[in-house]
Amino acid sequence: MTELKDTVHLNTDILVAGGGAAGMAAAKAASEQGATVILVEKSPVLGGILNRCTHPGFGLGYYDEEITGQEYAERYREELGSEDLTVLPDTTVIAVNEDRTALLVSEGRITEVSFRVLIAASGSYEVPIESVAPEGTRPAGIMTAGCAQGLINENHLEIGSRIIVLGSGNVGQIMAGQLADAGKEIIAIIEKNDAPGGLSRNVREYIKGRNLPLILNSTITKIHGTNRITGVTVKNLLTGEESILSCDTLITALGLIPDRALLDNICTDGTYPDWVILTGNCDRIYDFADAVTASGEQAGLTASLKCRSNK
Amino acid sequence: MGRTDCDVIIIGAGLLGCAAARALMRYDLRIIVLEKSSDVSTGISKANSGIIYAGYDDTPGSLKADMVVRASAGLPDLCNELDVHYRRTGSIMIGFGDRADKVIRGKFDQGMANKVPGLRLISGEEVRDREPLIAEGVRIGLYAPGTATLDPWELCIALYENAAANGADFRFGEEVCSVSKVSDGFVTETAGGTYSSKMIINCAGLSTDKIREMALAPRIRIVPNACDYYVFGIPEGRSPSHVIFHEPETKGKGLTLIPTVRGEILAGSTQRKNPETEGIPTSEEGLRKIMDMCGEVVPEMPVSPVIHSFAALRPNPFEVQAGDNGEFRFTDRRLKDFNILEEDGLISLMGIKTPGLTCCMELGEYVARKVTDHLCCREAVNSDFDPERRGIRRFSDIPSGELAAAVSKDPYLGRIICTCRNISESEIREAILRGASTLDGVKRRTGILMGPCQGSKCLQQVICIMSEVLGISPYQIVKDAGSSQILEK
Repeated sequence: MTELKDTVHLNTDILVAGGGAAGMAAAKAASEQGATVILVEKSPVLGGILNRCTHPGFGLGYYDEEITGQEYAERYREELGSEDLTVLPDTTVIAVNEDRTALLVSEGRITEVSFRVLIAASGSYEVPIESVAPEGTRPAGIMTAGCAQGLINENHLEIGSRIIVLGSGNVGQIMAGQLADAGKEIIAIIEKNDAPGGLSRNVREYIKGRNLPLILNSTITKIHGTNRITGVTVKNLLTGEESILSCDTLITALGLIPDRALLDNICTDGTYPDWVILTGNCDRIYDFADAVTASGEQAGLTASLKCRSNK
Repeated sequence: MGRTDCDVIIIGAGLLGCAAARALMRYDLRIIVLEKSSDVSTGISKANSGIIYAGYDDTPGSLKADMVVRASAGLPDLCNELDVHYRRTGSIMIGFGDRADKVIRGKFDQGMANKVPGLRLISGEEVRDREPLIAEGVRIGLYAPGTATLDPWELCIALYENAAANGADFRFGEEVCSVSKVSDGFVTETAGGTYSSKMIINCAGLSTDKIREMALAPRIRIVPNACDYYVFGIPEGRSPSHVIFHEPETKGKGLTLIPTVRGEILAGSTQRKNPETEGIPTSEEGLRKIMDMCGEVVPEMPVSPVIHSFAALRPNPFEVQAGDNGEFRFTDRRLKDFNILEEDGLISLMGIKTPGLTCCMELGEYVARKVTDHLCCREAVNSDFDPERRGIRRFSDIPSGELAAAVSKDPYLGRIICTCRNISESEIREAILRGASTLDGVKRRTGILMGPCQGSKCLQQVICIMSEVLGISPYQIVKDAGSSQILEK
């Protein structure tokens, strides 16, 4: 490793923060318009959460065929490979400043980038269990669906064997289906509404297709267990009735929140300067990766037009 | 089995045990600390409001009142020596009616008697000038500029590291099963060994009565009660900047709002009897009450996102009376002061609750004086004692001008694992090197998994790093205790 005791300075038209589906599309679209682009990704590989998605259902909009999330990311990376842009993997944007500079950190190096337009494509994070704030303890064996998905599909680890899923949105259903396929017992999927969330094709494929036990109009009001979780109290929101279900793992799939932590510095009352463009799940939560790609492309085009008009 | 000899055995590595160990290392003594869990700060020390009290709550003339003002004034220096984050917020105790008015004026008089610096009564108007979020109709405030906040486990870990660096011998996973008095001191047995010492300092928190009664007849019984807390991730400017103590119009606990060193708002606290002591569950009733009180006292303060909710235990000491027939009767007489029983070389710190965190170093030094008097060794000072300890260098604390140089020297510093709080892999590795062997140990040393996403973005990576650095399978990683595996096959 070369030692760089001083900050490295770079200039670009467009800085794209986040190299998932949205960021890759934004970088590609902007670069095609002739803008100079730096694409920053925290992980070693571009693709974001696509890389942990081993299930099909991707690509029907963009590639006209159904492929897995991992395949979708792989294909898009190849497309991006032919573009003339700078990709900085293993790099995190730690601050964005009012003077249109951003501070990046990577192994051994601090980089300051001056840019004209920032595309925020930092995705989303999962709603934590505390949004429900059930009473009781917080033992081991509770994790979000996306985290479980990453551990299982990227690290090839197992998480538990008797599983309750709280929330029947897409990620919850997909994880319940995948765990059932791996021979784990799905004790219940618990949903607060009177119908399962998520896409109807997922309900068909996972809940109905695998005959997974779904408990509607219900939530979790208490967590039991001191070391590892031993069960939960489930409350029917219509009747008020409560019952205890035992489990060794609780997966929460309570939805996604746009992750805008990197914009904290430049946020005033929830609004951002006009040189910031939000895209993908960082802007709003999407159901389809293909739609995220479209959102990213649009952001890339808008950003390059802004650069031109500012020149 | 061999017997280990030392001068003093300390039982329990919470705030008090670690503070006592540090205070004793100023003398030329051989100290062993026996802790039943695998880390420090895992008992009642791990869940605490983190308030450093100014000192107007304590009855003049009590041991508490005698210690708290001095302890509070000494904490900035202690935190500086130990590299612990400390936030001087000041506090305002507020009241909306006649009852609170009376209570608050009483606290003011008490505070003046205790010589609390800067203490003054302020008008409802001044309360709202200082804290515009407080509901209209606030009548009176008691302003204490010296009130501050810190992370209790950060202080505990710092005391531990400094005591250990100065030679205190901490032994984890050593639950005491018997204590017996012998002619020249005590013999203490654990599942792992036998220890003989001239003295014992009993800092076993909720178990101090149990430990003491292994050697002596009952005098004080510890009965815990629990209180619930929320942690809110409210943006700055939309939350109070002082610690707020709300004195309600009905008897009982009012709302307390605490701006933490990490920029969150801690909201508590409730009180309930007979809690389960294992795992310390929260109660639905308590959590709902906090939300209701927030709506009443700070109606414009957003109560989301909720980052966390937890329960804390208070160790309440009750007097035990000896009956005529040699039996012991448990009474409902609650002891208000700190209770430090000194019985022939066995010193028990019993029912040390608020302001125990504020006074922890004072209590440690108090114990050290008792020990040196008992052993007649006040003169035998440890000339090598170094009071300074450096904390784990946090990426987010490094000034921007020094970042490039720091990152070029430490490659792991350039790998940000938590993007909510910019916590680097270097911090996680350093926490493990300093003794964290559990997920909660890493969490308490680095602040990771404590941000708005509660680890949904980074738990996966933290597990991988822990597995690599500890050299164990991911399936062996536990949350905090023996069988709390994060992953199960």
